[in-house]
Order: sequence, then C-alpha cells, then structure tokens
Amino acid sequence: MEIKRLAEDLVRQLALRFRIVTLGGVAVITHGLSRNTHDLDVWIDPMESPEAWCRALWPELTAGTKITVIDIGSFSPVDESAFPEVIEHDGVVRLAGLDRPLDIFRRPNEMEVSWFEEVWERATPLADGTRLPDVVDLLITKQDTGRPKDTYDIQFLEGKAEELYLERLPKATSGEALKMLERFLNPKVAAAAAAHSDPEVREAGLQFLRDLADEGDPFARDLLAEFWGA
Amino acid sequence: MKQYRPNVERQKELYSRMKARAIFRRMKGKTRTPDAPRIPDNSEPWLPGGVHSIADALYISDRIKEDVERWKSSGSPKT
Repeated sequence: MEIKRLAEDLVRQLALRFRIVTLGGVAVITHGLSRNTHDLDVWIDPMESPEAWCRALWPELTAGTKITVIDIGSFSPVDESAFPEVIEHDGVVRLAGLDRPLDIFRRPNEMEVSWFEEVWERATPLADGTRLPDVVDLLITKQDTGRPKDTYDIQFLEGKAEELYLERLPKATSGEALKMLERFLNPKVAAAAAAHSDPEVREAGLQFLRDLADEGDPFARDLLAEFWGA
Repeated sequence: MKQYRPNVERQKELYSRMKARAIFRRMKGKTRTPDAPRIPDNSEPWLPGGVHSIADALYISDRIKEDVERWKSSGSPKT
C-alpha cells in the first residue's frame, strides 16, 4: 500500500518559506471546539500578484511528490500555466495526493487579499510556524457561507468572541471600544456598549440594537425595552 | 476589514428555542433554584497541554472521527 505524505508535513515545510494562517476546521479545533474535519485549509501569504504566488509555490508543491493541484470549481487537474488564472478566479486550489485534502487559499471566503497583513498581525503563532487567526477574523470567513455545517462553528466562535468582548469592552477606552465594535457586534456586546462610560460608544451600541430590532430581531427588541425603555 | 454581524434569522431562531426551553421547564414544574449545587465542569481536554499546532488539531479530529465510527453502527463503542 502506498503511504501518502502528510498534509500537515507539507504545510510545516511551506511555513519555513511562506507566512501561513490556518483556516476552517483545524483553526476552529485549535480555538477549542471538539469536532472533526476531513480536510486542511490554510491561507498562504498572497504576495503581490497571483502570478508571483503561483511562481513561488508551484516548485514547492510539485517537487518530488505525487501531488496534483485541483481546480475546486471543476474538480479537474490544473497545470502550471493555468495555475495563476484558477487562483485569481477561485482564490483557492485543492492539493490531492496527500493523506487528506489540503486546500490552499490566496483569497479565503469573505476576505480580501489585502487583509492578509492585518490578519497575520492579529494571529497567534503556533509551534509549527503557522499562525492561528484571531477569533473574529475566523468568524468572518464563516459568515455568509450559507453552509449548514458552519452553523456550529459560528455559534462556538461567536460565543467565544462575545465572552472576550464582554470582558474587555467595559474597560476599553473610547477609541479602543469603537475600534472593537467596528470588527464585531452582537446584541449582548451592543448592550454592553450601550452601558459604556463614553457617550459615543453608548450611541454605537444603542444604534446597533435599534438596527437589529428594526430587522425583526426579538432579542435586540427586548434588550432595548428592558434596559432603556426604547 | 469587514464587521461580523449576527444573522437576524438565526438570532430569532435561537431566541425562540431559548424561550421554548423556558416554557417547557415551567410546564414540567421545574424552575431554576439559584442556590442549587451544580456539577462543576468535568470535561477532560483531548490534549492536556492544549492545541499548539496543526498536527495537534488533526490528532483531535482523527480521534473524534474514530469515536464517531465506533459508536455509529451499534450505538455502543466497539472495543
């Protein structure tokens, strides 16, 4: 029986040369949710262009191994000449021939290529040279995917982000608090913002609750009625 | 960067479920007693030292997959 190369080993090797942020199930498990995952998703430093990205990665992916680069849209193999076009269009390719599918992203769901730098800066270094994205950044990659399997991940990550925000927000300065709210808001966090000492933060929280209530969110409506008589 | 905002439909559903559980508890005559002793967190971590690498995360994933397979067919684990 053929022994396939471990996807995690390839990622560890790539992490020696490229900045890599973990995504998907592996990142969610690293954040603390007990679940399984079939594949491994990573975001590799997008560099200045798809061509530069492909030029740097192709030799690393194909040297001495039986890896096939797959176009996820059509599930057909991709050769070196088509690689930049596929990655520009889809933002991701799958590597087959490893012990598990490895999806390498240049542009993850809901993310822009230009955001890599700040996501990398906020991420936590792991022992293998990769980084774990901040909980809110990971949450953003999951929002609006429309996939039922992401529901549990969203619930877990939102709970974790909420806990973090409820702890930090009351102690944050006005500037810090507003910056935090630019990245993540849910009804409980908005309620905490609405109780902040700074009037601008209070207004941001109240406005968000009003927006949610207007959209028909009963929780936000009750929070407004309960605490502020709005 | 994008802002994360919860999906309102999901919020409504979660809220409705929470309300339904509270009503169900009331119907069963169960109310929450604030002083009642609670079972402390008794869960054991998959890895005592925490998850520090992709390999650690995949180790957890594979153990869960194995457990699910063991339980799936018979409803009890095969040893």
